[in-house]
Amino acid sequence: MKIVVDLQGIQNDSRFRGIGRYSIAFVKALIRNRAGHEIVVLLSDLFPESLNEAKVSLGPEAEHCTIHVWSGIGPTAFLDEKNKWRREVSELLREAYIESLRPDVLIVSSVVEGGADNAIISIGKFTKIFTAAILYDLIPLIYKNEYLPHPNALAWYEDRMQELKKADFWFAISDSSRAEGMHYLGLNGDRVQNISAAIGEEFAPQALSSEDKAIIETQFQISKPFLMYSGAFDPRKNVERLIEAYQSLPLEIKQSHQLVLAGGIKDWQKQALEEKIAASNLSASDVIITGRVTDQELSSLYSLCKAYVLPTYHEGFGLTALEAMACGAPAIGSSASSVPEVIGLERALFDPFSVEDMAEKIKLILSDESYRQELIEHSRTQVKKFSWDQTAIRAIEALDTLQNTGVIRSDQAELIPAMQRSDLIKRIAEISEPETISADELKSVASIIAQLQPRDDPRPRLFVDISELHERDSKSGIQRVVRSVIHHLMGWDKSSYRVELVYTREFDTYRLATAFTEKLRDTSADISKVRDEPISPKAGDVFLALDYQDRIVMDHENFYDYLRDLGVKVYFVVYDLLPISLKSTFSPEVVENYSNWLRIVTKQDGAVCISRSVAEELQGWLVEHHPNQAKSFKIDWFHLGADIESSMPTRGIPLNGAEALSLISSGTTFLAVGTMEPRKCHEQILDAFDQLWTEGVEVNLVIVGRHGWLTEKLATRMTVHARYGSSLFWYEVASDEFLEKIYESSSCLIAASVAEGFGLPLIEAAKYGLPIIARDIPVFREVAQAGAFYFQGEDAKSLASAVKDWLVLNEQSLVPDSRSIQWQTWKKSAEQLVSRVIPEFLHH
Amino acid sequence: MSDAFYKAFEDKYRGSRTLIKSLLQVYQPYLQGLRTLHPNGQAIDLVCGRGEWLEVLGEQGFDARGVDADRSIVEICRQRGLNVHQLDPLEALKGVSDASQVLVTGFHLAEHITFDHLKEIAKEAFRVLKPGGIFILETPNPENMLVGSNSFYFDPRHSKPIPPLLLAFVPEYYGFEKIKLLRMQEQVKSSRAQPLSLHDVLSGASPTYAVIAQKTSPSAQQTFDIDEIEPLRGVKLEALSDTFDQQIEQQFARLKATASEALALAKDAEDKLDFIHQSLSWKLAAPIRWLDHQQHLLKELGPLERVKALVRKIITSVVNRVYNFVSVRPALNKIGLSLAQKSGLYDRLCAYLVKPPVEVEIVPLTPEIEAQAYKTYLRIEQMDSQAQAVYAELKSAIENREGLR
Repeated sequence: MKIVVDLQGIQNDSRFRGIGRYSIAFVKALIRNRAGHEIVVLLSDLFPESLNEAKVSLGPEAEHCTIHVWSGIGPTAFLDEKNKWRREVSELLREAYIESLRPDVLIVSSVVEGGADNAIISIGKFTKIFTAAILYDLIPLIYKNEYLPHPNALAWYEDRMQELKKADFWFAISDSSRAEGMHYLGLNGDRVQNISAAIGEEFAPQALSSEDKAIIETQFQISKPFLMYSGAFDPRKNVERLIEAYQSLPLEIKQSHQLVLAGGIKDWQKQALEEKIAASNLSASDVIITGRVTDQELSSLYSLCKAYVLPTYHEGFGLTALEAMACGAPAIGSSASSVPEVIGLERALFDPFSVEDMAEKIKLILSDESYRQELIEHSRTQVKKFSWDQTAIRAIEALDTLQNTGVIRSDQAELIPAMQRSDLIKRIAEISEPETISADELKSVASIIAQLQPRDDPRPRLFVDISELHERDSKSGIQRVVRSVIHHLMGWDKSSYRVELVYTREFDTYRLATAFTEKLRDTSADISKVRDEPISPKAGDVFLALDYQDRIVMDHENFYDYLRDLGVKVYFVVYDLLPISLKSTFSPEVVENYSNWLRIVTKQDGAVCISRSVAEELQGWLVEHHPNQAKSFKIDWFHLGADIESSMPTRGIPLNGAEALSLISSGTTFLAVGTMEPRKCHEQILDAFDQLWTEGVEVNLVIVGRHGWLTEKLATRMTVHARYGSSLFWYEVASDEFLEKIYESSSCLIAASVAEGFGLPLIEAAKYGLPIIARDIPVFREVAQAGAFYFQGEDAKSLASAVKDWLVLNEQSLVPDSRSIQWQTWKKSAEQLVSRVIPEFLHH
Repeated sequence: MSDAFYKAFEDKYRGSRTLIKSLLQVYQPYLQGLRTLHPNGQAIDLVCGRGEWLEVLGEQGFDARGVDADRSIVEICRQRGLNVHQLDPLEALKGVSDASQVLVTGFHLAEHITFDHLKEIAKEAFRVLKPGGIFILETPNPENMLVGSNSFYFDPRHSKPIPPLLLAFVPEYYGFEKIKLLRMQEQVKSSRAQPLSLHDVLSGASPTYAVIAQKTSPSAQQTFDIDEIEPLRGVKLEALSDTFDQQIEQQFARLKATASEALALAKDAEDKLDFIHQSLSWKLAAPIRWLDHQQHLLKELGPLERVKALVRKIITSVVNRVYNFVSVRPALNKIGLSLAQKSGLYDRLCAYLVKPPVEVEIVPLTPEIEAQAYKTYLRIEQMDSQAQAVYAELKSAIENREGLR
């Protein structure tokens, strides 16, 4: 069965209360015990601020369910009349979304929501999906005067009750709730199942050291054995009668005990309570009011108390008694509502409306040690009856039975999207609206409806961001990666995801690069009529930011948030961390832009780095700067390819090319490939070769690389060099075709860079069997392994002597063989990259 | 490195002979026609230069002979084994017997000699050609503005540029029946290539043209007719300038469209801003915006106690005013409180509806509202054609229902 669970109860303020705790624990247990069923968690995008928190709260169980986020338009709170149209539209949109998921069952975690917030729960207004609702309690309905004194609040609650009644099935949290539902709402008992409730693992007997015990006792001014109550202080909690019963105890019991009342309390409630205590001739040291306590403090108190008492006359589920018992406390409690089934022992119960009866049981537990021990023993066995797993299993078994008996039918007629759409539009148009609906609201609704439509190609999308390449091919290393990867991605028609190249510009939205793609496939294509449409992302899609475009990314930060809210996974490719690790060699503007870029990147789902070294550096940076994100942010790596010919290479040989190549191949020629910038150490290379030439070592030096930044002097020095054109060559622009020829004609590659993301020239050299002299840095070790001759030192002498050593070794054919370097094709590289974000991309 | 690589490399970049020969390819169909008409016919090339054309003719089986007045040129050609004589072109032609040649050519000849000289050559060419034979003259094209006004004069031996129609008239006058004009060697491949720069217009017309004239036989048994050969496209100056004009007109039209769109957007934005300014919450938040602004100013000005005191005064008065404003408007009261309350649902509902207001907290824009607004904005921005269609459908559905009422 496909089971969708609407979890809005963990998105609004209910998340701070019992309903939220119940909902999250229940759904996690449901996922753990799903057996063959598929669980889909449904969240609303009308709570943007808690959406991420809600996803995180699913914990490791999130791996085994799918999370969907539906969209409505807000605000929708019931108590503001102006929201009526938006609320009704959102109800239809939610149900249409649920229908589009084609579930067998919908479980609604909480129906009684949305009075003063954006929770939207309707049942059966648009879809007939079998719906089961969790039934907590009907306390406000039973004590209307107390809880629903205002007609608007009453109207809202009654509206919710009408909705609740429309469900097909109910999961009651206790037998007493089940009975309430049948009695007050007239629910059919056959369709109401008690699945009970449970507590978290944080409630267990605390082995407190005497020191810990002293701290708690000092903190709460506890000086004697104590009787404990925990919970709220509404009238139904019956705390006033508890004071009266305590007051009526024999003096010697009162003198040797304290009463501790734990839990959040309003100022006016506290004031009233203190007056009551004083009027009962009890002192502040006899009855202690703790105020709000943490879960940790609460379990310590449970573990330390002599006995626990729950006097309430109405509970959906007497949770606190179970908590106390789980911590090893003996518990006595009221014989009303759900408390008896939680405590599970007749002898521990009293009539909550009878002060005498209550006092009798309190006296017994505080003075009769054998009675107390009996209850402690009972606690141990009783708590085992409650666990979230058992609750979930009860729910799943109930659903299984409903399916087996044909109540839940999985043979729903095939959904016809066009019909669903026109029906939805018709229904929305029927809602009577306030005088004005703004065009923006209507457009927003239209956009949501359009997103509900299934795609022609049902495969999820892999959006590949190529914003920079789309604007211009700057022929940099990054652009080579982008060109190579998309070249191969475009070729995989049978993948489980449909690949879409996308781009944006500043102040624009992300668009499909349709024109660009057509041009890529057929350079003669006429693209003048092609309009690049905005992308329509959906849950389950993946967004891979392949290109590096800091300004675009900064401009679209909110867009990536929007994608993740939708349920799209967002990953970035990280090429290096140089602007922050080698700050001094970059302009302040580059450093600032990069830092901003990195901050945004680490907010996403993960990054794929171009080497293990970069991945480790990123991990280190993240742990140091954003330890919280480090836990959920996925960092992986892949390696680049070496076969230039499949990276959509550029072509052309310069006019004097042949001449130069014959010079290069006739002597011993060293080659340096890479843009001229300080970190690539071209200056050190040239210094070293000047030294070699002075010493009479006849070698050639070829530098291939654009004139980058902060190297003006060096560029001048090269072009006026005495050996320029005879044994010193510099090609600012070399086509891939020409570069291949240079690799073929040279004798050795020098990789002198002090920092690199990967070191593409190394594997390109390896492909031609060209030996390598490389600086000893981790990433070069990672890429070239034992296939390179390594050197250290940043002065001319160290490199010059490394070259001389290498020449000697070369004479004896003892230089490390670069052919031993493992290099892969760009095809493999692209596969590796995609498998990091979508493991099943090629196999489905 | 392999020798094969060098061979290939040399072939590709071997200088201008190859280039010139490739340019001569345009005459290939004419040579083919001549070959079928007169196999192994005789040809004479006037001012043959380095002899590329003679090589082409030789390769194609013609009995080709060249003349050039320059002795060194003649020697270069002879070294290459070509049949070349040091002669003035007119003199050379005069020495050729009637109706003996199938082809007379003059590449870059016409612009070097006087017009009278040229007329003589045309006349002689007609005489020496067999029926069906052809006469070719190739010369720079002054229709290309840059050629006509500048590059033509790079060669000091050039006398003056000759307009195509004038040159074409010369052989016609001397009896050739079929005349063709070929414009060639243009860089801009088509006048429809866009976008066209002004430089393209000035320099883009075919820089070279040729006149091809054919002598027909009176017997009308001719099997080779130059009119049947597909003419070259060429690029004319008029075509370029027309396209350039159109291009500017189109750009202007697009700009006009963008401008009116922008005006409409501006109008829309103005309306929206008006709406916001008129809205209640905007008015309500006005003192807060004002305060915000004042605080910014204060931060810049530094902690001046007197100013602070003044601000405290103002804050008190503003809060009071807001409180008064709110307390006489129950609906706002509710909103204010709802923003203030964060505690449990039932408690909150009670506070919401039955408790007297204790304090009023005005929250101008919560992150939640802001996020929601941004989402709406994105949703509208991201509308694709499908969403636009739904919007149209939804709008008309609502309008229709209203119409029925």
